Order: sequence, then structure tokens, then C-alpha cells
Amino acid sequence: MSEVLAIEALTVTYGRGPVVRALWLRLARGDVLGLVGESGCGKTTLGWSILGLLPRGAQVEGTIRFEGADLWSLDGRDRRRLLGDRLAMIPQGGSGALDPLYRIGDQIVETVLAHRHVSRAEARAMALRQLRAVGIPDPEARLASYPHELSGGMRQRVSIAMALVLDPSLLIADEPTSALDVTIQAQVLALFRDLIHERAGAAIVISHDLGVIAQLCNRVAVMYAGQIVEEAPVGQLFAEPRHPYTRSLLAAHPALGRQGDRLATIPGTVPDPASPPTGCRFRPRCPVAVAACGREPPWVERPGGGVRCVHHAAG
Amino acid sequence: MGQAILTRVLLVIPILFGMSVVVFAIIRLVPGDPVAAVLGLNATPQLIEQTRHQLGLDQPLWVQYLQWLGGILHGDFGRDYRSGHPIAQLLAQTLPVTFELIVLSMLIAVVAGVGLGTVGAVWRGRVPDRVGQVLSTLGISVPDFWLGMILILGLALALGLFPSSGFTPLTDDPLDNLWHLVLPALALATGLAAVLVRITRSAMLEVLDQDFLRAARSRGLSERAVVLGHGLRNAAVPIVTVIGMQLGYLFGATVVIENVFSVPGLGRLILDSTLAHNYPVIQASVLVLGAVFVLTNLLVDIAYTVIDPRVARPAGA
Amino acid sequence: MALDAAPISRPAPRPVAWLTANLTPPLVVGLAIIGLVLLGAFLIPALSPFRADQINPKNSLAGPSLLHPLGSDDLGRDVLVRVMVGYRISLAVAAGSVLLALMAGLPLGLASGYLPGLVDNLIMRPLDVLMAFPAILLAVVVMAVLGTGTAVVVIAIGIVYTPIIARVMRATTLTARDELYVEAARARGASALRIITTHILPNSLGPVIVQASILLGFAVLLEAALSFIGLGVRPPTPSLGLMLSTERDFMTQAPWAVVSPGGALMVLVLGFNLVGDGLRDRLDPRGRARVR
Repeated sequence: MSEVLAIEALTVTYGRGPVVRALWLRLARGDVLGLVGESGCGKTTLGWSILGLLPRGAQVEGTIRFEGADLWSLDGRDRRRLLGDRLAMIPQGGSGALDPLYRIGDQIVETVLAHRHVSRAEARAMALRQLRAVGIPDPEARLASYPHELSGGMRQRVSIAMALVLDPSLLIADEPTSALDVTIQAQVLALFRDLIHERAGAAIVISHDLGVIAQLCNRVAVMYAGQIVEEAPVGQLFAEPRHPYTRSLLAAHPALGRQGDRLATIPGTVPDPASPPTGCRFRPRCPVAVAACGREPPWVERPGGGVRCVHHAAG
Repeated sequence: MGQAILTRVLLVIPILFGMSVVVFAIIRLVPGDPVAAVLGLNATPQLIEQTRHQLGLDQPLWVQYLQWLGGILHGDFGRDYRSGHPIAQLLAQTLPVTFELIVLSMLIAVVAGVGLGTVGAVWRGRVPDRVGQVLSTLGISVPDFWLGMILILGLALALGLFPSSGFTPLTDDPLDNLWHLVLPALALATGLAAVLVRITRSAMLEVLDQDFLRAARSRGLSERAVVLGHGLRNAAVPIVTVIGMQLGYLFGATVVIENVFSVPGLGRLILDSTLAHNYPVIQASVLVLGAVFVLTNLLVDIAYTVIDPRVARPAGA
Repeated sequence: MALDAAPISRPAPRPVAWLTANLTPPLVVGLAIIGLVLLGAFLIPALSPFRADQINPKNSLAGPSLLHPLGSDDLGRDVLVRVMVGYRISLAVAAGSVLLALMAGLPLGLASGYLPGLVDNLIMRPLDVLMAFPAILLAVVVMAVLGTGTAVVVIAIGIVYTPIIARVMRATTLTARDELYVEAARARGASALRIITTHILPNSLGPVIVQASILLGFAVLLEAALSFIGLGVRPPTPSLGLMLSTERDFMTQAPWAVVSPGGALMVLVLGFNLVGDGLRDRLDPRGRARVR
């Protein structure tokens, strides 16, 4: 199998405490992994740490290997060579990813020229093809548009186009549809689903919305308080959630909640990274917590994934 | 697109009109007889009467104003009764000198101020940032004419690196011309540079935190393209705003700095004519310097539309 | 709409308590500098054996010594005492001109902010014209009309700064006018005078104080510059700018006589600027860039 990404024992610490803790993750070619969890669980930090673009003052331990290369040991120039080319990101709130002062076309062209020895005209042609591929009407004219002249949905399509222009082997999409209204969201999702498989080698889709994950991904990793608490193929996760947190998430989702159940909210709040609870991070909010949860829960391997919960250790 | 610019251009007209009224009022507000003041002490009553008629001072005020303004619009600023030269000629000699001085100091200030401010933002809290902050705080507080004197004392008189005063016309010897203007431009630029360090630093810090900048990095752009192309370009709006606000200082300070360095510019003309109570020359030179300032400010405003497409092309337009 | 959630009025500001709670480093250093300058300006001339105008031809252009810590000038006068007396002029002119600008600018800004339309236009359009002049140029124009002298300098700088104060006052008045609690007060039938004194003035206090403290520093510089070029304070008065202009001719023989007054100016302006920065950080966080 061809491994695209391997994260081993990754810990990311900001001033107050670890935001991502001892996290392991593997991604093979063709994988589209959904990374799901409440806001503040560390999924966006995980995304940016793969690109090596964490805010000032962040400390990182562990290794991230991308196509065999240890990303954090690369120097700036070598890492830059990967970014935007083999390793691309669609940042959260897509419209904010575009520089307001530059034309759409110029921003895509700039990305192409940073990585490929092609003429400006060729780069422009690539940008144009790309805008067409993401379904932007009148792409020729849009090349000359400024971001503020486009709607949110169109800007998000531009972000997608820009990330895919060089056919990356790994695409990370952070909340690719959350800033859009519902009808646009559906269109962008459909487009995105097709494009990921066509253009990217593998992808990580970060979302708090299980519906988005269900449509785009073949695997799901559920994150809670900086750790992955459950990982499973997408069908299995929805059919047979094992971790109590996963169950709560599913119950809280309007479309996915089991029929007849009342839509539940998860009581309590995400723990503060500076002072997480001991043992299982979810214990204070867990409906089935027992005394054994006070100890660090084991990672229990399952076909296609695993679960971090003491209730599954015995069986 | 042109509408924002057109509105701004039209706004200049009442300002220039108001300016001309204020400047015209000078001669009427002076206590005592302005004509006697213009002609000096040994003017005969006959000459005073004659000049009064020539200046049109025996006509109604509004006629005088219109005649004066009409002349100016045709490039006729009247005559300097002391030297006998047409005032327009004095202006034509001095304005380019001052303009060159201002352009030169602006260049120095922008390069030094924006450069130091950007460095400070990128290396926030480190040595270059600290140095920039201290220099900027001192630069805002230093009296520029005194700094000019210190520069003369140190760089010109003690080390002999630059001439201490005087001027060579640009057309005579461009290099020597530049040589004479370096120190005055440096003195004039300090205040603006110091303010620019601050505003650039804070604007850059804000921009460096923006999502689109991290996104630019995520596309693998070089650090230079990220910081200068996207960072500084986005910080340019507040920087240009401050340049616009500080331009007035630059223009006004030429009156003082040209005196320190004996630069024969418009500022010098304003000062000399003021000290000599030569009112027609004061009026003309103040009006011209003020108008050039207003027009330069207009250019700065138009620059926004070049920098920020959101100003020139509002969404939905 | 949650009208009852809006505060009925803002708590009255308590300057001393506020100041002690907000003593940031720039504010402390700035206040310390101004305090020391005030102390020196009043104590040193009183304690020194020399008077500021005490001429001693035998001691002309003497270097710094125990007797004359900053040396003596071309007429043998003690530079330290003259600098300290010069500080008095600087401070008096700065305070006087900013006070004048406040007295003229606050009512003008208040009226134009509170009465939009005709009144606003009648007040602000002429002030816009004044602001269109570079500050020094406008001061020169005023001096050209009124002549020189300390009082005239105060008037000239006051005129230059009036539109600046008026603009700040107008802007804060406009903002305050639209606040919920001001509308509520108006709905309760409060008089204009009451609204102005209890709501608008307290709101404007912060930005006006910040602007005034910054203008104080620039007034010091402007007075010095005007006096330096001969359009300010008249000769026997030992203004710092005037000293620089006379001692300039002896710059090479007696650098101390030009270094000291200029350095003294810089220290005082630095003090005002630091206070302005410190106040702005707390009182007017969105602070506009400095105007000079």
C-alpha cells in the first residue's frame, strides 16, 4: 500500500497546554478521512501542524511523515516546495483564504508559478481550466475579479480550485462548507466529492458536521480534547458507534440521530487544554462513566480503526 | 469606478477656494497700513498712494479679491514691489526646489520607516524591533530643525561628509544638487519616518495574523512574496493614510528646515517675505504651498483606489 | 429590543482612581519626565547663583564646568538656567495654546456634532479650510498678520489646533448621540443641556484628553520652531527655540550651547508623547494616528 501520511505521537502545545496529545494517524492513497469533533478539540490545529504552519510559540513533538519525508525536519525551502503543490490546504471559512487585494486569477497563477516552471500564459490557462472545473460561470471574466466581487459560494469554489490546481497528493479541507448557506452547501459538497477523488491522492476533511463527513469520506476519526477517541470506516461508524462521545455526537446531529430519539445535546463543555480531566478526557460528560475511567483508557484496535474507551477493552 | 475619484476631486475645489479667501484676508487683517508695510519705511506718501491704486486697494473688497484671484488663475501673482520681480517668477524658481526636497524626504522616510516597521513586525519583540521602537519614539520627539543643526555639526562640519548649507540647481549639477539636499531631506524625513515605523509595525502585525496570510504560506509562496507581496501590500492602506496625514507636516516644516540649511526654496521665500512684511509675496507663496499640499493630498487619496480594489470597485457595482 | 439592558448613563469618570489603575510604563515614564521638567524649571533658576539674563563677557562660550554645568553662551550667560527658564516658556505656551484650542474647539465640535445640517456645515467647512493648511504654514500666516510675541504665539498655535480639537469633539458627539442610552434619555424628555453634560461630555473626555496630551508635545515643538525662525517669542525672553537660533552662529566653538536647548526640547516632547501614548492605549484604543 502506498502511505501518504503517517503521524506518530504528535503533541502540539500552545502556551496553556497541549491542544493535540500523542496523536497517531495514517493515511493511504485513496483515503478520504473525516476528522470530526466539537470546536476546540484540536482538529484545525492538527490540520495546520501537518503543513507546519502553526502560530508563533507552538511547540511540536512527534513526527509527521508525508510521502516518506519527515516534514518537521525539512528546512523552510524544502517544506515550501511541498506546500500548495503535493500538500494543499483549503483553510476554514474559504473566503478568508483569499487576499482581498489581488485578482482571483493572479492568486492562482502565483501559486502555480511558485511551483512549476511554466509561462504566465500557461499558468493562466491552468487557472482557467481549474475555475471551469469547479463550476464557476464565466471563468474567463472571473479571473480578473477581486474576491469581494464574488459570492461566498463562488469564493469557496475558488479556494477549492486553488488548492487542487497542482493535483496534490494530500488535500486538507478545513470546514469546506460551513460558511455557506444550505443550498450552496449542497452544490459545493457534490462538486467537492467528485473532485477529491479525481484530483487529490488522499484527503483529510475537517468538520464538525457529521453530514458533511458522511457524504465525502470513507473513513472517520473522531477527535476529543486533542486525541482521537474513535476511528472507523464511515459506514461502520454511523451504524455502530462505539465510543460514548461518538454516540453523543450522532445523537446531536439532526439528520443522523436515530429515529424516534429526541435530538440530544451533549451536556458540559470541551475541557480546557490547560487542565484536562485525568483518565478519559470525556469522563465528566460521559453518560456511562465508571470508576475505571479515571485511568488513562487503552486504545482498542478494531478492523479499520479502533476506539479509546475502557468499556471496549474487556470485550 | 471613476466616481469616487471624481467626488474627491470636486471636494478639492471649495477647499482651494476657502484657502484663497484666507490668504487674501491676510493683507486686509494686518493692523496699520499694509501698503506702507509693503513699501517699507522710506516710502513717500505719493508712492504709497500710487501703489494703493496699483494694488487696487481703493476698490471694493470683493472686486479686489476677484481681480487677485483672476490674476492667479491666469498665472499672474502680481509684482514684488521691493525687488520689482513678478511674483510668479519667484515662485517658479523656488517651488521646484521645495518640491524636490519634499520628494526626497518622503523617499527617505518611506524606505526607512516602512522598512524598519516591517522588520519590527516580522521579528516582533526581538532586537531589531526594540531598536526600531526606540528610534521611532525618539524620532517623533526630536525637533527637526535642531536635528538639522546636529547633522550639520556632525556630518558636515566635523566629518566633512556633506556641505553644511547652500544649494546647487538640479540643472547645473544633479549630483551636487543631491549632495546639498541630503542633510535637509534627512532632517525633514525623521518625523515622518518615525511615525511610519509605528504604523507599519502595527498594520503589519495585524495583517500577519490574517487568515489569508497563513493561506498564502500554505500555497508554498516564498517568505518574501508572503511578507512583502501579501503582507505589506495589505498594510499599505493605513500606511498611506498616515503619509497623507503627515504630508502637511512635511510641507510646513520646509519653512523651518530651508532656513537651517539655506535652501532657496518656497519655504525660505515664505519666511523671508513674512519677516520683511512683504504681503503680496506672503500671500502668493503661502497659497501656492498650501495648494500644492492640498493637491498632493488628493493624489494620496487617489492612491487608495490603486491599492485597494474594494474602494475603486465596491461589491455589487 | 432590549432597551432596559442598555445602561441608563455611564458611571462618572474618577480621574485619580483611573490614573492609578492604568499606570502603564509609558505613562509612568512620561509623567515622571514632565514632573522632573516642571521641578527643574521652577527650582533650578531659583537656586542657581545666575540669572537667565546675567551677562558675563569674560565667560563667553565657556565649556561645561562645575559652575556652569551646561556651559555658557555667547554672552557668557549660564546655559542650564536659560534652558530651565526656557522650559517655563515652552510649558506656558503649550498649555496656553492647547487651552485656547479646547475653549474654542470643544463648543464648536459639540455644536456641529449635536446639530447636524446647517450648523454643522457652517462650523466645519471653514474649519476644514484651516485644516487644509499645513500646521506650521497656518501659524506663520497668523504671525504674519498679528506680529510676534509670546501672546501671539499662543493665539497662533491655538488657532492651528482648534479645528483638530473640534473634529475629535464632533466625532465623539456624533457617536454618543446615537447611543441607546442617549436616545433613551431623549425619549424620557431630558433637556439638551442635560444630555450633553451627563452623556456626551463624559463620553468625549477620553479622546479629547488623548488628543490634547499629544497636541501639548507638538505645541512645544511648534513654539520652538516659530521662535527659531524669528516668528515666535521675542528676543530677551529665553525661549528654547530662540536660544537655538542665536547660538547657531557659535555652533562650532560652543556646541553645548545648541545641544542643550535642543536636547531639552526633545526630552519634554518625549514626555508628552509618552503620556499621550499611555493615555491613548487606555482611553482611545482605536486611536487615530497622530496629527502634527
